[in-house]
Amino acid sequence: MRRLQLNVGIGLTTVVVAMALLSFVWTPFDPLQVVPADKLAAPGWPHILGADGFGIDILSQLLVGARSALLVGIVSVALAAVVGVPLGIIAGQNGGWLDELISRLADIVFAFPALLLAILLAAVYGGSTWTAMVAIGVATIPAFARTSRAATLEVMAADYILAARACGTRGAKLALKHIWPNIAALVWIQASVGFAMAILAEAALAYLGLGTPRGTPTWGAMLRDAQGYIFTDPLQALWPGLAIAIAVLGFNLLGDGLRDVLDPKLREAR
Amino acid sequence: MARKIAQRLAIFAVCLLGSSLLVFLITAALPGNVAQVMLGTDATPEAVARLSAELGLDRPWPVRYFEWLGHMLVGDFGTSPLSHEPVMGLIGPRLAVTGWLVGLGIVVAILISLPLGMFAAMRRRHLSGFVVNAAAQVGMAIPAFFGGIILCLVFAVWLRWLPANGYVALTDDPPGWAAHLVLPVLTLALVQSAVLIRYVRNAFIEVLHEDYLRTARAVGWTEFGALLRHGVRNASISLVTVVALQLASAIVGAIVIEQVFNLPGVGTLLLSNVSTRDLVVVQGTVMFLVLAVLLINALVDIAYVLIDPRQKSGVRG
Repeated sequence: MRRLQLNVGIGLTTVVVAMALLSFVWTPFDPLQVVPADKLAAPGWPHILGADGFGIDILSQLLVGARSALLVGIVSVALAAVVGVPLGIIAGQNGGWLDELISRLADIVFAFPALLLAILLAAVYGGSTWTAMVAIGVATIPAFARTSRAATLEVMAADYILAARACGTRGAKLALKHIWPNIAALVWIQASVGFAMAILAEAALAYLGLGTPRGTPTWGAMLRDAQGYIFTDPLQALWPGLAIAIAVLGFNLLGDGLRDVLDPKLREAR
Repeated sequence: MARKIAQRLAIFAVCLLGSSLLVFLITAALPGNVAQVMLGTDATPEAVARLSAELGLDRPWPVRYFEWLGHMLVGDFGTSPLSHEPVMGLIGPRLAVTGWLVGLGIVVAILISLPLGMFAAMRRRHLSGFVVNAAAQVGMAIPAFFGGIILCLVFAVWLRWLPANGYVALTDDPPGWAAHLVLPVLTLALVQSAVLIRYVRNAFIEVLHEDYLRTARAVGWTEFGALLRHGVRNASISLVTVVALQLASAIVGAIVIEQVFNLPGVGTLLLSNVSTRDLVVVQGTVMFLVLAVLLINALVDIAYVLIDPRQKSGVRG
């Protein structure tokens, strides 16, 4: 039972990554080509999942859509981790006014909803993959800063840190050699959960028409289009919705599963 | 205790200042000209110059920022240079829609998640508890707009019990109002309760390990009875914070749900002004929503100080 979450998580995320990779080498149809004759084709052959209101093959769009979900996830989580983790370590390592400043800044950014940030950026610069990634990334920084701060505080109390400091190791060297290796596992868990949130947020932005513009298939935009045919062709909305749910569930389970395996303290509660 | 409350209020003020600066810098200090963005690339230079003058863009941004902040403090969130309507006048009539959606959504979410979370905690070693937990996990992965579309499909398209979208005012037609709100409220509630169930479950699992609960069991209370009598109050302290965080996220989530069901709320106002590039209305509406989120956080922090007796005795929380 303990490994169930992890294994299901690994399975689902592998499916999503495989969809994205497959789309680079093969899709059943051109995911952008409008074929009026195939408009709203029913699932079957040659359109396995049918075609949308423009006559574009749904399975092809679904495969290519995995790319933007993963791209936005990777870039925004990387941005958040690269900024947030060093800040969290600095805050936890030094304490004092620096800790106070970083923690309060994290509070301010945390209180500012990611969706509103994305809407603001889209209003000024026009919605794009970049505004989505920046908004989601910036909004995720506090999560990484807080996780690594708390983990650093715990590590700092350990005897090996005391020993390292007695030997004269401090500052960035202490952080890199002794703190980071001991908090890395927690950061990876946070990254997996952050990835799930990013995919959900990217889909919401694309659904609202504020993310990746038309011309690149996204699951969110597919769902938005499919909603227009809900009375005549309800199956269309199912595929992109399922794809989003599978991706988000997969990364959430992966994060939870990793936590169970890596953090023995939490085990007894289950 | 008064010091703690003052401290929370100070945090609220700092957050408000920080996020207003963020909103202002993104919208007003952008490279290029605000007036140009608002009018589009095919606007004549004269029109851009006229709008720039109207918005006072020739002055340095710190001056404009403090002026904007000062106006907001007296309830003036700006006036649209395109429609010449004050932002508060635009928000006012739409506030009821969003307010009903968010308020009812959270109430229904609590009604769903409290019993289910307790159940999942008590039966955590049984299949039934596992099923509730797994359902919550799956629910968290379903985006609000997909959930809304599915509910719409089932109750509006197949069963034809409820309208698929739109809104009528409570004062115009109470049954119609209720019918139009059922699906949006249910969508918001389901999304929120997926998150809440896990918190409720964890809070009660923690309580189940406490000594006082073992004592209560030892003197003859059933597990459920002990949990109701002693557990709910103790768990509620940590749950108040979570509910508040959910309330704040529901305000933002409502923006998406209003689009799914075509409700004329504050989120719809915001998005339609994003597409017309009316940055003054966007700025004002975003700030209004941020203010609401921060205000909820502050109120809950204060409530937390008042509820938790440990906070009164000067123990650092």
